[in-house]
Amino acid sequence: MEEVEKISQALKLLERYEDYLFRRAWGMTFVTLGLLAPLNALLILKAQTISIILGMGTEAFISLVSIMIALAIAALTIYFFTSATIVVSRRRKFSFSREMPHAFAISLIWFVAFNVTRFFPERFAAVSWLWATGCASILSYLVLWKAQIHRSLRELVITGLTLLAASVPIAFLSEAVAETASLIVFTIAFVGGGFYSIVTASKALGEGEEAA
Amino acid sequence: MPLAGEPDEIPEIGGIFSAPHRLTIMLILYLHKRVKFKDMQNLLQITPGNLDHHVRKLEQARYVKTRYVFSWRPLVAIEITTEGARAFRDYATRLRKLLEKVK
Repeated sequence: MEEVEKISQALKLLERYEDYLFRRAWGMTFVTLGLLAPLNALLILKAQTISIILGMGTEAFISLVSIMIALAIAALTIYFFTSATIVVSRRRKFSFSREMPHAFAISLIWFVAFNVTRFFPERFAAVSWLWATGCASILSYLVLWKAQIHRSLRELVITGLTLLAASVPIAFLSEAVAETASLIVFTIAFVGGGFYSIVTASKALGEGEEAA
Repeated sequence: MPLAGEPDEIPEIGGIFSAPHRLTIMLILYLHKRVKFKDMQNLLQITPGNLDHHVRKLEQARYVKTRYVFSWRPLVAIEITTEGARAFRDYATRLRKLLEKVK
């Protein structure tokens, strides 16, 4: 039937559009993370000077900045993903078993990644960020691949491997150089990975399977 | 396959949704409410003029409206209206009933 063929074609395009939104949300999240997390680290490194200028205690300043940036990252991530998936007209029943396990698993992976770094020895403080987030990227890819709800995001693996590979030489640098180097690597990997995701999402929107 | 006794079920509303592109536009807008003009053009792989033609047809039926949204640059977005959502829901319901009869 002609109508069925038309609907079937429309559904294929809908799936492609939803994939595009999902990939773009990942890209935006990566860019946000790549800019805000190093900003947090930078502010903590300069906390003593800034807190004197602001006339507040260094500890209080560090806590305030860390909380504000963590909240900003969480709020923006939630915004990017909900605006990609929330549908206004759809009255679809929310399926916990279909949608929540992988979203929960990925959130947990990143929460652990950002908190596990404090348990590393002091001399690995700088590179522990790269190890934790690199592993989190690769684990997120594996969760998405297992869930098979959206097409797998290769950029997660590329970013993860970049972070892990770059951490090896940085681990042998002096502490002061390692701090700056890991911040630069973190920013380049996440902002680069984010933009790559956004660009490939736009390409895949027009070209379909081949570009995805 | 024409169905005896129900010849007008789909053709009745098929007028506006008969073009595959318009059907896709309505399906995506029904589910996502608002889509950027440029994204829709890339998705459908048609020229801006062609998409504009389909959007105008849907606008004339008051099923969609276009508006400017402000991102880091001004963008045109296509948005479904309440009337459009209702019409598409009716279309989907009729199509589902028709398929159930075929089954």
